[in-house]
Amino acid sequence: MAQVDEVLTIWGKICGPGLDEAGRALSQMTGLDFMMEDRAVNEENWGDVLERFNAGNDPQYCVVHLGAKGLLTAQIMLIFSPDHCRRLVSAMMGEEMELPLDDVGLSAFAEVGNVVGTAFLNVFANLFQTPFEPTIPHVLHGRREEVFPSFSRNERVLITEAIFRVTGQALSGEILIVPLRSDQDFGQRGGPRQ
Amino acid sequence: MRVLIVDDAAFMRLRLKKLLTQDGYEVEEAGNGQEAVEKYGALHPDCVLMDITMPEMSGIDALKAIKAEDPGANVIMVSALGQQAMVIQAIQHGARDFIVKPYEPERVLASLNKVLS
Repeated sequence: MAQVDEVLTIWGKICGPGLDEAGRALSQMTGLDFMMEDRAVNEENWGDVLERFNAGNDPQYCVVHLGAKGLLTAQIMLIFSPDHCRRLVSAMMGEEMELPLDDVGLSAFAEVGNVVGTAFLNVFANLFQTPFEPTIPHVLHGRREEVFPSFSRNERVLITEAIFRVTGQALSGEILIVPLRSDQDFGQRGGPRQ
Repeated sequence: MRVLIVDDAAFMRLRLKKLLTQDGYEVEEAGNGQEAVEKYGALHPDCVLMDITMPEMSGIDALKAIKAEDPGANVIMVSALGQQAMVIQAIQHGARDFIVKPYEPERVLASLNKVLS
């Protein structure tokens, strides 16, 4: 397995191609014209990320969790506010959706996470000519403590602030990657099981 | 023609169902491999579109079970990029074709036409 620092450096460099690939894949999947761009890419401690997601008045989030195994062993998370998640899914479904999302809406959001995570992994896999094994995506929605796994606060994380452009809307979401050590595994919330 | 769509993602089933019904197919759905095996036995569809990665029973295991019951079953596997090894395994177990996600609608219809012709 690659070292955490190496993975984060590489991930940071493939953000642009990864988002381009994700936009193409989302367009193919939905038949809509999806464009994605990164507004900022930063490496942070997990503790600082948690503080960021605790700002505001009782913030809630919709999160897709996806794991990657292989040369890259990592936890990938796609994070949206509930309203932007609803608007994204509404665009995909071609009808106005309401919160909480129904099963089909949650499934659509899970597929967005699946496509985005897999697009990044494909860029990574093509670069290193190595296969990977993505896990089944799953969605959690609720407060910070309900949707995020319990990593160590010192765990290094790469966070990409991304804009999803679709049907005339610019929807913001965050893509997090947490490289996992060989002694960690995916837990019930998609987070590491020590 | 009757097609059984097997995918744990309700959104993907919805997309495929819309595409296939617009093209004149009769569509049945299953949300996991076990349900797919049961529905195949009950309905004997002309073709199965089977996702590889599913909880409970994988697409590969469901393919094996269906082929054990009906060696002539037409099963098209739906894989994600990077699942080449599983696709090869599926072909070895009798899958007639495969589609890689995310797919273009034309690719799905072309595969069905090829397998059912």
